[in-house]
Amino acid sequence: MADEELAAEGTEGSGTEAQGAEPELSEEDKLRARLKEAVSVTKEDIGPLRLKLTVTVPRDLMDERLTEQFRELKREAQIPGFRKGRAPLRLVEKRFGTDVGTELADQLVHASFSVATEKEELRTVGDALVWVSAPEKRLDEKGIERTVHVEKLLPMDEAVEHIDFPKEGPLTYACEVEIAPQFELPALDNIPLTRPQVEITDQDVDAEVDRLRRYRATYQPVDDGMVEADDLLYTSVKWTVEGQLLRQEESTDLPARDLRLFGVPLKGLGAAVCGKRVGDEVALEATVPDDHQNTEIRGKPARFEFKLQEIKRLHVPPLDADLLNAAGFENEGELRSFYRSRMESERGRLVKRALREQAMQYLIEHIPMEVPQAMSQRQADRIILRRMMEMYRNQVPEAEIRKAGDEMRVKAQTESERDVKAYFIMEKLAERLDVDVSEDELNGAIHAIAQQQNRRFDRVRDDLAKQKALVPLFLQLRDEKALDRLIEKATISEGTANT
Amino acid sequence: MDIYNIVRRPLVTEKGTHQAQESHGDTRSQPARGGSYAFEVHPEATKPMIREAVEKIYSVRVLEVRTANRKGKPRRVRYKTGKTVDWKKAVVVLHPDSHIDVF
Repeated sequence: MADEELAAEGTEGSGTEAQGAEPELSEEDKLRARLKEAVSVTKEDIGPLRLKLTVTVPRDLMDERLTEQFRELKREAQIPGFRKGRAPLRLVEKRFGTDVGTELADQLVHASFSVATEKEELRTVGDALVWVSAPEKRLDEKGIERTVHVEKLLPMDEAVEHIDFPKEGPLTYACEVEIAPQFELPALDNIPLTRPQVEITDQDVDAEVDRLRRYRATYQPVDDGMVEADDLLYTSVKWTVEGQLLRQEESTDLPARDLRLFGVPLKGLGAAVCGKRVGDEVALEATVPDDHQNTEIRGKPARFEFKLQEIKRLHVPPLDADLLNAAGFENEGELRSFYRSRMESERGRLVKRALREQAMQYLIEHIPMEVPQAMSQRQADRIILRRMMEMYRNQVPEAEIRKAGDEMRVKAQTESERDVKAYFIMEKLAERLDVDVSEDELNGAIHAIAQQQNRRFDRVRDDLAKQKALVPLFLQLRDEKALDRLIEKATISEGTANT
Repeated sequence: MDIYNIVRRPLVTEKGTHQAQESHGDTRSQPARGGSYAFEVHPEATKPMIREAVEKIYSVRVLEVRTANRKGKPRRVRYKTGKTVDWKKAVVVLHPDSHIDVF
């Protein structure tokens, strides 16, 4: 009897394998095809170029997939007391039920989202944000940290960790997506461009020397004095919304200027802290923005309290023997002639940059496009990150890049219509020209940044990854390549002497 | 010795699974009824004690109890020799109307 059972199981197993070995469709394609028939999607307009999608995967499809997964697992499962593949299905289900459920929910959410956008013919930009109930650490009235579950929007990869496979009923989730505006690209051949004549002047060399000094600038403690704009402050922070304490930090560093803290723009922070001394307290009122990650506090008044602990100021070193030595030069003349020759050799790069800018300008002027009046913080963040990457690569000192980033984050979100337009145009152009960036090219760009900042490659790469700046860097490289292709086909006339 | 000390754990093994299905057949639509189930039991438990304990814990009718004393296996850690503990195995045959869900 036992042997008959084993034989029966064996044939059943090989039968499934034989079915799975159909040459034309992979497992993923099959799932997509099934989902395309079964998934239901509802759309809701929630702002300019933003949609809320509610996706439902029916139960019968989920059960079908679950059974299939368990059957597959049964063949491989090694359970004590059983030979490989001989454990009963029910035991396998009990042992691995939770893991399989989580994995399947992850797979179904990703696949159903992609099918849903395809079905609705949506061209989405960036990652979708999914509504989930996720744990968050909060301080209660006694200042003790507690974990509460809050409804929030998370990127899909993070959100799937909080989506459970339902025991009964369909799998339903809601997500927010951003969609690209509809427009057509103009003819891309023979764009009229002018090649500028670049001359290196003494002022250019001065600017380079100045940049070297700013590169070597360090924050130094101010023992007895008042806060000035852009100083670095070490301070305690207490964040409350309508009297409820949300976050408290004993010591954090933040620059003395308007910035975005915990997702809330603090306009007037710079003015409020300037003139204060160590030990002084500063309180600031602000409003939580409508697209804050925590939905419960959106639009509510927030209060920030700071107590200054230390002040540091950016000290730009003078061009003296120490600085020259550190940079590897014996005297100022040598430094200047080095910079002049380097700029001469980089003339081609400057010309190329100017041509790219012209090509971009041409596209912006020749593509009529409805640009959204307001942008979500994510859209704005993406554009800010790209701007910051551009500055990194143009050798702007880090302190200045951070300052510019803070300024952009606090300003109105429709700061630059040009940036928004450029973003969408480049997306489409790169797709049309089929431009891609290899890992080597990306590493090359990181290496160049590392060299400029005199830091190790892996540290710079880690830092960029932490700031989520690798994607913007990738996109920037891709855009440059796309524009270069455009320039190859352009009609270029020679310009007059110009810097 | 209370009944939960007498029956220590059911032995969930490939052999045990087949024995559980043996006498009364097991199909996809109808789970096994009756059959024999193996347990690890207290080494000093007697057959009547095991019968009573299984009947009370699982609310089933027991037809027969067979026991076997299993010797522990020799084990060696470097130069030291030892052995795992001896234990007692009980195979309980159930009435066809009874069933135990061991998983």
